[in-house]
Amino acid sequence: MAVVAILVVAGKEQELVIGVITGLGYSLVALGLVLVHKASGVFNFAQAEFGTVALFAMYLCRVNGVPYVPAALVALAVAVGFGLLVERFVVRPLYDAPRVTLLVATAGVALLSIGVAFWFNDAQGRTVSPAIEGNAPGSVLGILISWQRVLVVLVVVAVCLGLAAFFRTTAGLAVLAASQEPTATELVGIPVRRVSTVVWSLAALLGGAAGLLAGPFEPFGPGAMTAKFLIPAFTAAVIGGMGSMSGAVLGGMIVGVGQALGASGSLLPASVPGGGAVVTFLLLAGILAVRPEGLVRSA
Amino acid sequence: MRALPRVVLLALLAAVVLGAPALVPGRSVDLSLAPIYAVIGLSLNVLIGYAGTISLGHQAFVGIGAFTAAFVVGQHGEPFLLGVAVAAALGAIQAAVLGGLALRIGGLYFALVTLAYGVLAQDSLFGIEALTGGGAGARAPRPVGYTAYYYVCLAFLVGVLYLDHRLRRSKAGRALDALRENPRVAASFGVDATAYTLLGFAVAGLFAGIGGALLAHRDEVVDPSGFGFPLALLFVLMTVVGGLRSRTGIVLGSSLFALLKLLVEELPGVERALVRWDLTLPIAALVVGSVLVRHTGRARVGGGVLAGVAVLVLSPLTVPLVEGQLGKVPALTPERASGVIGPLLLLLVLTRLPGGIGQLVRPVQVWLAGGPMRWSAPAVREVVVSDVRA
Repeated sequence: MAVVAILVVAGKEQELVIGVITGLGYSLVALGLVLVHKASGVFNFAQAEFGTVALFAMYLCRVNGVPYVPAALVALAVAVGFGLLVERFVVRPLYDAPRVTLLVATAGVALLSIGVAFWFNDAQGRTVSPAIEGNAPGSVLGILISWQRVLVVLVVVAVCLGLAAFFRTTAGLAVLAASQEPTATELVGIPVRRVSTVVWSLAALLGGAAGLLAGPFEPFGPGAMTAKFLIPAFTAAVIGGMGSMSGAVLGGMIVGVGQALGASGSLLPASVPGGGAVVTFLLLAGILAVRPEGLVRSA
Repeated sequence: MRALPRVVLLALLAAVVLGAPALVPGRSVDLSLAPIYAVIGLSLNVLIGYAGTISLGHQAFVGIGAFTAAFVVGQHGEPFLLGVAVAAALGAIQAAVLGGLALRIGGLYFALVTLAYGVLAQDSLFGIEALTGGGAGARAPRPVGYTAYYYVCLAFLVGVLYLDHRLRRSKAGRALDALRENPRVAASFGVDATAYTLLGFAVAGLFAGIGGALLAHRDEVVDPSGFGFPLALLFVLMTVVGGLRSRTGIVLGSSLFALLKLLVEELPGVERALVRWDLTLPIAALVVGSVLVRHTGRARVGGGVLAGVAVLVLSPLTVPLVEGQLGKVPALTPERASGVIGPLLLLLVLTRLPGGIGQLVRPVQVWLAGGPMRWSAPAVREVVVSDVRA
């Protein structure tokens, strides 16, 4: 609250509001990262690429005249399919491999996906139209909000509620159990590898949703989501200690506002560009060096 | 007389390396990328292979070298060699600073930090106009002609190889080995973890600085947009595919990736094969088939081969079917090929061939050194990137 008050007094409402909403997009990717990390200890460098794949699927559907909602569903299905492929052909063969190998392997998946996207497309930017054009009525702190941003907030809230509910179901409990004690979980009869499948498809769904939500804000090309979302999302997850879902959401907002402030040029001299990247790096390195367990107690 | 075949093979190798500009005339610019990438691969090998820390921001290491060289030579008109020296020194210093951070943040998390560092360098550091010329790029004039520059790069590669050899054979090399295996045990034996980790980083930064400077003078214009995240991944890729801790493997792996475009363009038939699905599909089926085989299940190898043969046999039937669609599928041009083939090779190496190219060429290496030719040389079991502390 105090931070909000300071920013409002300093005349940074724009950065605050837009930063929080952009940050919620990071949170969505970060939630996928935390989910996968909790379940299998893997740093999934292909997480943001699920979003790019979904975006390209969406673009193809829309160009061919499919209405928004079916196109979005197809895109999400494509993202989940991609996630399942990754799980089956990369993660499962490396089930017993060290986690670093998996890190490099998922990075390889991201690179492959970008390579294939370049093969079938050119580097030129594409655009998808938002679900609803224009601005929402009313304003927050005097800042106009587009419908697309409202949608981002609504989806993140829905995802949080959905995940909270999921972890109360049997399947959700199985995921938690498998993450804490894989061997014991196997012993009580829970198929740990199927849990892995569930987790990866969920993570791909979250990544895909993040891609669809972020798509209309800027033109995108191959690897767009990896370039723009991967590091902020990891920073957000690290702020939550790589284990806390609520921490990841909070972390996303912190990164989003931090980047908006950094990019607005109030932190660096005018001759130094890239304030957003500087803030992200400082946040990431700072949290890891000073408080590696994250800002939020892991649940 | 027994030495004769070895001498012939060595002479052939030397002839190919030294005579490459004559073999593919007019491509010296592309050729000189091979020794440059090899230097960068050796630099990353010091971090991943020796020190056991993964770096996903190596494009920043290289970029700092490139922009330093451009600044010293292009803006201040100093000689080329001074530019390389300053680039190497600055590369070592920035790497050592990052190494200080690595001492505190270990394993997977450090990989994240290096990733963010790379983006920071590209977005911010390389965009400072006074130092780097901003988006327009910095000029770095090439000191000699294209072909001569290839030999200059080769000379630097030989120097770096020698330094790497000395590092491995010295007390520092053994200390890094011990620290990688188990930092606590090493420390209890009196190995100074701080000093040797920093040394490892400094050497990696030194090599990367040299590589960056050479790259800058090869391209003649250094531009921040050339140092993105995919480049860092490519560096990791070529080092892992080459085979960690195998100098020969890394030189070969790096050269392969550096020359991929050239190879696709110059080798007869390759470019055509990539656009011809009836040729490419069986190969893809073979690759996928062999990936599916994790624990050398021979039945499944057979399955992969069968699938390949089946596709090949059926291709007269299937090709007309896809022919109409073929026009819609863009050709896999040399530029696009490396983006697809590279990661596939990486995944293949990680799941199937942990030792990389280095392991493949090991028997030949042993034989060249005067040993017996044994194709069943002990294989690397564990994927070698596992050495990273995590």
